[in-house]
Amino acid sequence: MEVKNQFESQIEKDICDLNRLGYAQELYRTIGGFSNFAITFSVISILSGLLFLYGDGQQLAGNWNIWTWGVVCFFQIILALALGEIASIYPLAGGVYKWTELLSNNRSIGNFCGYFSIIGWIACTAGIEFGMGIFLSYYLDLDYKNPWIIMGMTGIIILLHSLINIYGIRIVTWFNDFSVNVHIIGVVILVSLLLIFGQRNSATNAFLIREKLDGSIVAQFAQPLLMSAWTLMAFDAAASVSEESINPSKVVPWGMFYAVVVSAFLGMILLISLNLALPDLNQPVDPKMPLSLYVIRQTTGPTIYKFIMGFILMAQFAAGLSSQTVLIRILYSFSRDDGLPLSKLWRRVSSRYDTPIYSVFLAATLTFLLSLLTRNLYFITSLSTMGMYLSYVITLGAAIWGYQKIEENYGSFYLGKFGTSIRLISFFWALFIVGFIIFLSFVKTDRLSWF
Amino acid sequence: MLQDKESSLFFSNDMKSDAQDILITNRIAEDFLRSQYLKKNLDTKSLWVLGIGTTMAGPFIGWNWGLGEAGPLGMLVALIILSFCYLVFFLITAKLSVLFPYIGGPYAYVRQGLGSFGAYWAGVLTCFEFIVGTAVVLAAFRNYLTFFNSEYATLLCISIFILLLVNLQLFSASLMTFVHYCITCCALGVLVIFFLGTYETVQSTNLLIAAPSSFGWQGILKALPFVSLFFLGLETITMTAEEVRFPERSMPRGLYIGLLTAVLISFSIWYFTVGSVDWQLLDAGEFPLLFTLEHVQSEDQVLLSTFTVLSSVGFIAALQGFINGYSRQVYALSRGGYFPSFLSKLHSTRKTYYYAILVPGAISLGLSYMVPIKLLIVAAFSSAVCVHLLVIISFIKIRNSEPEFFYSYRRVYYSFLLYMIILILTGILFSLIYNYLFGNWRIIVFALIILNFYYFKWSLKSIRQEAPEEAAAALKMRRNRIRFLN
Repeated sequence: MEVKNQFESQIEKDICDLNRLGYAQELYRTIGGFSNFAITFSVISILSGLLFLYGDGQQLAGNWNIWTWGVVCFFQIILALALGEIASIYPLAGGVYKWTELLSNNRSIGNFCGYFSIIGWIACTAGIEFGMGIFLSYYLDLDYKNPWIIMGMTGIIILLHSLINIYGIRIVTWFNDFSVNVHIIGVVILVSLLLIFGQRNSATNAFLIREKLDGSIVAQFAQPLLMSAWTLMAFDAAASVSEESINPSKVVPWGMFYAVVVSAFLGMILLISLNLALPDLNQPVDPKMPLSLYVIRQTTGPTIYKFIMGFILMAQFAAGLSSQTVLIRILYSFSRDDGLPLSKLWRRVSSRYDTPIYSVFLAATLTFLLSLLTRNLYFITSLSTMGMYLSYVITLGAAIWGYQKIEENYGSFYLGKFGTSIRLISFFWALFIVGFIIFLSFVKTDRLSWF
Repeated sequence: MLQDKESSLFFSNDMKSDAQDILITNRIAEDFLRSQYLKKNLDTKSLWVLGIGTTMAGPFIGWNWGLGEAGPLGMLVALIILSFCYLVFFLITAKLSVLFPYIGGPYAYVRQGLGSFGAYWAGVLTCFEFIVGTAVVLAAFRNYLTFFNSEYATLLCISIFILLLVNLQLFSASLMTFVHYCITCCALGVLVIFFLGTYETVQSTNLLIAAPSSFGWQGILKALPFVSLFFLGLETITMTAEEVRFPERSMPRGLYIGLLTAVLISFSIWYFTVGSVDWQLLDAGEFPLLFTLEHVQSEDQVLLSTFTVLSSVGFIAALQGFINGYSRQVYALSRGGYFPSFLSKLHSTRKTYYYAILVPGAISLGLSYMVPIKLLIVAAFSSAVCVHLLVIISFIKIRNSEPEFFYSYRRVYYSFLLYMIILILTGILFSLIYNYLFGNWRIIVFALIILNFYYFKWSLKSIRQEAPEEAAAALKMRRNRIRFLN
């Protein structure tokens, strides 16, 4: 009874905090610490993102892609710390755009940040769902070169995600908790099989640069770095479900931090095992498959490969579901502040399901349209990276500008004297990513050939 | 004598029980339960894990011996018969487990309908089923380890068994349930790998082969014990009601989802295995799944190596499930007074019943060495059939004496269905005695005499009315007597 009373009073406290920030409790507050971590961890989804982009990293920098992963992990952890500190003070559903508005005291800047965030999340969700459409078409031996088949698969995936999101956050939470198990077990199985059956290269070779590099070392290092940055981003997902989390000031920043750390660690061991199992690339490689899947298939044989693909598809499904959940919360939050056309419609919460179901329809439609109109995964991922990191730049800029607000109102997650330097490093890191994407768009680059 | 009759559960003056006059106060019952309190931390998922985990060894060993008796189609018929029997049994126990949520399971249900003698036999037979089931899994696991590493097989098998026994005592039920969940999911993953490896090699011509006409129904009856390996041990779910947080919700769900999973696995394995390989070849080996994979995927060494090693988790999951099963039943019987009281001693902090885990475990280990595995399988299945019969007969008696509990479920519990099942189970029992057990009639008769003697000489005098199963039975008796007097 005593434990139950503490629980209820924490929820009441969270509702009071939300009221203090100017909002009423409309969503169903039920997510605990582990589930918060699970949502973020699912969105990052190393089993889908890393495996998907491994070939591009190999193509550009050979086995040095491990080092790009290490660099990205370091800076993303710092970024997670900086954003976590802000999330602890403002546990609101909008995430970065609300923080920017409150830190800068300027609604226009907040909205400006919000539009980039929305674009980033639409593209992120579309990227995961479209990518899964490609994977699923390949797995089911369909003609994955036919864009309409891929669009059909993508449409089905979007529909399933939407239905789950309509029926409530509890099902989403269960799915995300399940996804953590899938990721951890999947990585353990995959790494074990690759290390036991697939060691073709020595440990030192696994970390060496490719013999020939095309272009300058900086450019060759920076491009795969972008691939890692796309995989290990979007961890502010935890913040977008703050109004549905219990004790969000504590669980949201820690959820973000642990999700990045665990993903970084699992990603590193996965990359090492892939590099160790890499076959001789001078031999003809099946051009139809992503390199990572080719390595897995060569090592484990067709049956175990299908089994592991099942894990990868489950992980992708969970990632897409989490991503759509976050997008819906951002759209809901934005429309709550009349930031979108027809805001009154998007912010309506269903009394039956306790979810903003019109925002679900909007999110599904936008992601489908983006996939349909572009049908180019490279473009979608670049758009997603650009949108998200731009929103981080604006938020961190506002945080640096309004540092006094942070120091006066700090929450459960406070960086203390390291706060300023962490915010500065994060700001320049995010700026670097944005700058490099813009730079690349003016430079001719090879498109990925197999989609 | 009691000071305050209103606070007593039962009056002793003019009521008779089938044991002796009982006089229990609420306080005595509460003190008893406090000392025997089991933590309530199981939910639907835990029940599903317990049930399915216990059956995980079945797909990997021995069910293919049924093919030699009945052929592919005959084996399918045997599967359908067993699935139906288990469905009816679980429909009944889903209701009984909510009405009588005690760790005794079958013993508790039969106590309500058939009195203490029936309850004693239900409990003893359940213990026997699970102890012998443990011996089956141990023997099979030892053979399996010998198959791919003969040098350390016995040592490895015994070490794993002892490790399981120790861990179940040392660690809490919730932690061990989590471990069981992980192991069971791994075992299910191995089955998925098997399905992925064989789904392209199934041929319908292999499936539609009937048994030679000389076997017919006799062949199907002979195949039943081996086919039962897909379901043996699923009854362990019925013995967890006292540890479940919300039994009225979780028990039926756990039972139905567990049964559904077991049925899906059994039919899938029949389809993919028998469909891929000539059934006469399959009948000869001891490990049907491994044999099938070697036959259809001989070139994929990674698959074969992975499958061979990971199949061990199926045995470990089953061992843990069977140990959970027999330990709960032994504990319940000891708590009720039917078995020596030291078997129901609980650890003061961990609340684990360590003697109930260790003593039958030693018996299982001995049996796995002394008795051939086929006889062990038949013995375990025979016990299961007897337990099912007792529970169904007891259910009919309870339903007739207290129909108000069953008004909502009239359609499910049609008498015709129940009597049909009794007929089927009785037929199966006679077939088992005739085909397998008749040669060992001396041992069976001797065991019956000893067990009956033990009951009348010691158990009857030691029954503890404050045990929840006994108290509930006495309460029912008082209710019926008051009704009769009115």
